[in-house]
Parts: sequence; structure tokens; C-alpha cells
Amino acid sequence: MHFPRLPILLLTAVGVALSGCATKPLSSVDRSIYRTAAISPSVKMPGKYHYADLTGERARGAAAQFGLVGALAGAAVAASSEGPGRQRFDRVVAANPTDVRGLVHRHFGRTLGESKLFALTPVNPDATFHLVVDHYGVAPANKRELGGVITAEATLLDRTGKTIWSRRESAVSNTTAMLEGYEANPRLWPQVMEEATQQLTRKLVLYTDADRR
Amino acid sequence: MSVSLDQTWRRPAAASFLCALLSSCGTPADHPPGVPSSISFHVQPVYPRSYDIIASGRRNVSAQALEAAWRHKAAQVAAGRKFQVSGIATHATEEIGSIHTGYMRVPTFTQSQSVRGTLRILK
Repeated sequence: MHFPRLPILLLTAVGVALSGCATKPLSSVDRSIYRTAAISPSVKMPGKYHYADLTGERARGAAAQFGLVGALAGAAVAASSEGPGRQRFDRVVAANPTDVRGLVHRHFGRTLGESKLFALTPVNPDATFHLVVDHYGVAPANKRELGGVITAEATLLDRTGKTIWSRRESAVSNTTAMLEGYEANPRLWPQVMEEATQQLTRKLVLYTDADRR
Repeated sequence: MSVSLDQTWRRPAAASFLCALLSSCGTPADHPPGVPSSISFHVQPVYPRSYDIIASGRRNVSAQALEAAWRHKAAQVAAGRKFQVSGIATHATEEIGSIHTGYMRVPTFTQSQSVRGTLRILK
């Protein structure tokens, strides 16, 4: 008997199964080859924080269901509804500026150190972590309340610059508050970014297998 | 001959492909006994011996019921081992979609809420 296409189909199925839906965990890196690591001090960041409120999210989301024209119209509605809120939030951030770059670097280093996956050394490491923050800021996280949000990618490069591992994750702070809450207590802004960054670095460094439901 | 065998094996091969694809995305775990089937769970292993668990349900499920379901799931994941719970938070969120009424599409806003927290297995 001859099954000309069966092996190709099965090989494809096995390939998909092995590659999985999620990116590989950091613990899968061969630590017999890469024992020491450093974290690049330069963390790439966007120019400004991201601000979105529920009205804007609804306008964008609903309009996006109606194609490109809808998306553009939704973006315009969202921008007009979020404009005053963004200005108020600008004042909150100005009252209590937060070094998100430093937070990301510090929490990533701390989480990596506590995991003991690699020995951290600044001198001649086997591999170096590079961190890129795609966006950070506040967005609706609990009804109308805004939570700290952050998305970043961590990449591990070997001495030749070859990528050994890479993972992108997003995180939301546990603490959420209305815009009025942020205005009344400007310390909430550093707090939500601290929580979101902590959660983000846990996801990047410590998440292991594909998820179970 | 080759063509007919191809057709014979196409469906089983496609089924195996689908099974492999689905199994690679997540291993189904038992639903905790006594917890309504409307509550769903997401369990993420965290190195070295912790789990991030999310229990989600529609907005009509009370926050207390959702947290009780979370604790049932935590006990199930711990499987008799001693554990510590931290960082429990309840968030209500909104998903935006649309339905087609026959003449036009109408946006829909589905509200759901979730309880998330971390379970750490003690030595």
C-alpha cells in the first residue's frame, strides 16, 4: 500500500504540536551551554505613555467591526472622548513622574536573580538579555477603572548576536482606580506601574509550559 | 490506486492534525466538582512551583461565587499538597463584538469578570 501524502500531513501535525501555540519558556534554554547572563542596560521605550478610557475603547472596538472607514471614525471619536481625560492624566504623571525604564530593568533583574536560572554577571556573559517596551500606561481594567498596563519583549542573544530565546508578554496591575482616584492620589500612578511591571517580568521569566484550562 | 487511498486517508490525517493542533494549545484539566460550568479556568504554571489561576464568568456570576470557584480550582491544582495563595484580584472587563441582524451589523458589549491569583506549592 502507498500513502503518498500521509507522511507530509503527519509530519506537519507533529511539527505544529511540538512548536505549540505559546512561545518557549526561558527555562527551556540550554543552561549547560549558557550559564551566565547579563541584562543590557539600555531598555527601549516608547516616547510617551498610553492613555485609554472605556468610552474610547468602546468607540474604537465597535467601529472596528465596520471595516477601515469604521476604524478611522472610531479612532476620531475615541480621540475626542479621551482628549480631556488624557490632559488630566498628564497632570497626574507630571505630579509624580515614574521611571518605567528603571522599573522594567530592576524587576527583570530581580526576578531573574531569584529564579536562579542563570548566574548574572556583567563581565563576559554567555548571553545578554535585551528588553523592548512596546507600550505602557493606563487602560480600562476593571469596569470604568483604569489599571496600569505594559507590553514588552525580552530577547536573549548569545555572544555572536544570535537569538537564543525571545518572548513578548503583557500585564495589568491588580490595583485599578477611576481617573478621579489618580488625581486625588498621584502615588497611584507609580503603584500601578510597579505592579504591572512586576507581573510582566514574572510572565517573561517564570512562565513555563503551555497553559492548562 | 494512489488517488483512492489518498481520499481514504485524508479525513483521518486531517483529524489527527486537528487533534495535534488542539492538544498543543492546552491540556484540558478537570472542572472542580460543585463549580458551575459557566465558570471557566485558565491555569498557567510558573517556575519553579507556582501557578497563576484565572477564574472567569459572566457579570451575572457574583464576585463571591467566582472567588469560591477560584479556591476550589486552587485546591484541585494543589492536589493535596500544602499551598499559599497571594495576589487575588477581581476585575470586570468588556469584550466588544458584533451581531448581524439581517440588515446591518450591531456592536455588542459582553461584560465578564475574573478573579486571578497565584498559588504557590510549599515544600
